[in-house]
Amino acid sequence: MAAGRAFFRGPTLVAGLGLGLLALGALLAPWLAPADPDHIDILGRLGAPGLSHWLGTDALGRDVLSRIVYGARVSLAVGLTAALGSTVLGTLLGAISGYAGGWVDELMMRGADVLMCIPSLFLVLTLIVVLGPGIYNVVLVIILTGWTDIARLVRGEVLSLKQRDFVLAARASGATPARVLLRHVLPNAMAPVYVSLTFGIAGAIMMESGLSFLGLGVQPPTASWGSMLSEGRESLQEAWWLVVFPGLAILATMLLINQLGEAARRHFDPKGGL
Amino acid sequence: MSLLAVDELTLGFGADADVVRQVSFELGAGESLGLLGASGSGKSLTALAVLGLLPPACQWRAGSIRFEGRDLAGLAPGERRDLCGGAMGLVFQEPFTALNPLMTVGAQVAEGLRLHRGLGAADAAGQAAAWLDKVGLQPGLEKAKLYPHQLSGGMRQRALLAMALACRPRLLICDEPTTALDATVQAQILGLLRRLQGELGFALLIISHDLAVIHALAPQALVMEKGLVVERGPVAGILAAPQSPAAARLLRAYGMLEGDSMSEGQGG
Amino acid sequence: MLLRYTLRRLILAIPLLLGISVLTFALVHLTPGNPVQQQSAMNPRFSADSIKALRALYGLDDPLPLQYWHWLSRLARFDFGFSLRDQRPVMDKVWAALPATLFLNVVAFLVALGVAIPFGVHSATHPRTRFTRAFSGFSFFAFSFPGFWLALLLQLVLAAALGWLPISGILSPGLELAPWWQRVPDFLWHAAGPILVSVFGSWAVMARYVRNNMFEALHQDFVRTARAKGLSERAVFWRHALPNALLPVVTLLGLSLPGLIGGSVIIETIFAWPGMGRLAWEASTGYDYPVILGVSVLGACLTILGNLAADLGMALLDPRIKVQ
Repeated sequence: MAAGRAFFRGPTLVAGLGLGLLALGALLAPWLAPADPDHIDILGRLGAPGLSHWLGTDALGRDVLSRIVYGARVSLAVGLTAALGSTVLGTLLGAISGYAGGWVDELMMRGADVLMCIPSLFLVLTLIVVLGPGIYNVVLVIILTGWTDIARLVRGEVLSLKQRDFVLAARASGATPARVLLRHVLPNAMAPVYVSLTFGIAGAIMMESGLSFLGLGVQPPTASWGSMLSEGRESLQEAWWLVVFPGLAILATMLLINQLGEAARRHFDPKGGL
Repeated sequence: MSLLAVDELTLGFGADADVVRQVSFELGAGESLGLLGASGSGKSLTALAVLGLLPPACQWRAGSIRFEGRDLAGLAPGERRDLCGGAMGLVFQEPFTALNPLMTVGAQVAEGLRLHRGLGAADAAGQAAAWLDKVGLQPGLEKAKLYPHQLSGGMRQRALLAMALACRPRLLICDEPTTALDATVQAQILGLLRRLQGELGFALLIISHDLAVIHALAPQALVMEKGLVVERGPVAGILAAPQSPAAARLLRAYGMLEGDSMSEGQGG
Repeated sequence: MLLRYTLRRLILAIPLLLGISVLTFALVHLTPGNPVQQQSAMNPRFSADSIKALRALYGLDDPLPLQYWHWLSRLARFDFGFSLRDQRPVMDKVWAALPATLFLNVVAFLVALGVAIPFGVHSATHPRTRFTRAFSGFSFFAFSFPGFWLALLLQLVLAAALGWLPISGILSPGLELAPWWQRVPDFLWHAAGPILVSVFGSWAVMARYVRNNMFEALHQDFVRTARAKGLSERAVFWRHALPNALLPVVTLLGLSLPGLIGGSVIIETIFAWPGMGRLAWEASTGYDYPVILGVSVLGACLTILGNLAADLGMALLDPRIKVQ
């Protein structure tokens, strides 16, 4: 889309750069992290932030900074794949539902209704119980539960675009419904998709952190910001840094992504934003 | 002394050029005057200025408006509000959105009565129903209980007229009162306006891009283009021989130019 | 008229309930490796009796349609079986946990709304002041703040360090048998932490919603009409703009309902608040199938009921909605 420069103005530019740095840091974790995140050192456990360990050590003596850097990998990987997956799934289902109409639409929307009835955290927990914990299942569960909102939005766009002249012209030219949908209708319905994808990444990262915090996401010894918070909770009174720094990492990431999301919303859907 | 005297009114937004430039006209009690112009000519802003309803971004750069001899710019907000609705009424273009969807039509008419005439709830409701009767929404008592979404466009416009006239203003400004309505309903509303003016004797400022509407209601008119008054005079004269290109364009668009064999159909 | 509307909506809810029964049935019976095998494989604690109980509970030996019929009839009676953890009937556990969650979330919702409406309305009526900009920035910050981190920080700072708030639980130990006028303030003191965390997360979104509605309402034509009638700004605001702006709040209530029931899982877990959220968490870490399914199904039923109530509310308040 055009106006790339206008989009990255001010705080959005900062957010974009920040996220770029974050992604870079996550990718280069093995070279950036000062220590091995899994290296256990019982003698040095619960060490306060200092020169040898900038952000301190946890209950097993592992370097907090390294674990946070490696945790970024988990968060970004889960966030991106899960958000992408649920957005693609929701977009396709919503587009098909809106374009086809009839019983296909009814069925899909009823299905979405059923999913949306169950409070989302309960649904997520139920699916985790059925599928088991772990990073891949977390991604799967987020995809399976997160597609409904974007599906509704895309369906709405497709419904209003269906009657437009250029769509009727495409159909009159003999194109198959799939072709009309994919080449003519869908490209014009993408505005809510970009916004939803951006906020979806933020939501997925929050969900992964929350699940890992509850012990149902990323399993030890892999470092995830959420599980670090959970572990830090045990030593809450003696080691404040175990709770402060991982949380700070989550907060910073959320601020950056949400800033991008706000910019996307202002750009694509001016009426909805702040 | 004329009822309304607009003198060299000049308005503008921000740092941009004037959108209303040195507009002057006078209107006596009971008289009718038309403001003809295409959209963007500044005619609606002129009307809003008279009632003090200009958008906050619009600056009053020069000129004055006097109503019954009083300078409107010098009035306190409270006095200004007393004039609005009390001595001056305004009917807008979009009947579909000009009414509060959550209040009955009767309540909205009665609101003005309670404010400007100090009537109690029961009295106001009764008079509101009577006004609805007067504008053709009969029976008034039943129609008063309806909500705006239950009325057609023409009926809503009648309700808006009742609202504007309930406090017997001495000046009524109508900004494109029939543009959003279809042809038969248009004729009915115009007829209603003529009848009410005859009965109640208010001065009428009618704003439109359609000279036929103005012709139906006022003997004299001003033509505005890009904020300037480019022509003024008897409506019949403008119809017969428009002096300004603006007027000619508007007439041509409505297929009203003498000697035209085809009509355009597109509005100004 | 209203009764017929209610009945009609209730009837429309039946396919939803059926759908939920099918979904939960599929989760239990059609996932690879049925729950009993998973259970015993992962958890050697399970005795032969437990396994037998599970098989009987889910009728795993019967043909599939019969299994579904059994499942459906049990759901209709709200019979979710027995918790695998402590063999108590699932409904009993859920029923006992429901009030705590409802109290927490409803109070938090109302407090958040009470904060959000004035802020949202003010920022719509004073769009470019420094206060509004600061408020926008702060609400963006609050929106991005991880709720469970806030809970931990609260525990760290206020409870552990300063002792202003209790760290967890619903009542101080030893007060269970105390008279009500001692228990209630203690209860409220315990509720303060969870409510605060919950409000901090949700008020930002609500405030933005209120602000957008108010902004739109203020720019509607009928507001101009009201001013043209000579109404004071106060009258225009209170009688015309505000009612139209706040009406969608009822819709907001409907949208927030699933969150009101299930949104507090993490907060309840951190503060050891004995509600449905904590129950769900215990059930999930303990692979307590009957309980987690019971919680989900009940949550869905409450959501459906709540949506119906919100729709009824809208129908009563908005004259444009036809109640036939």
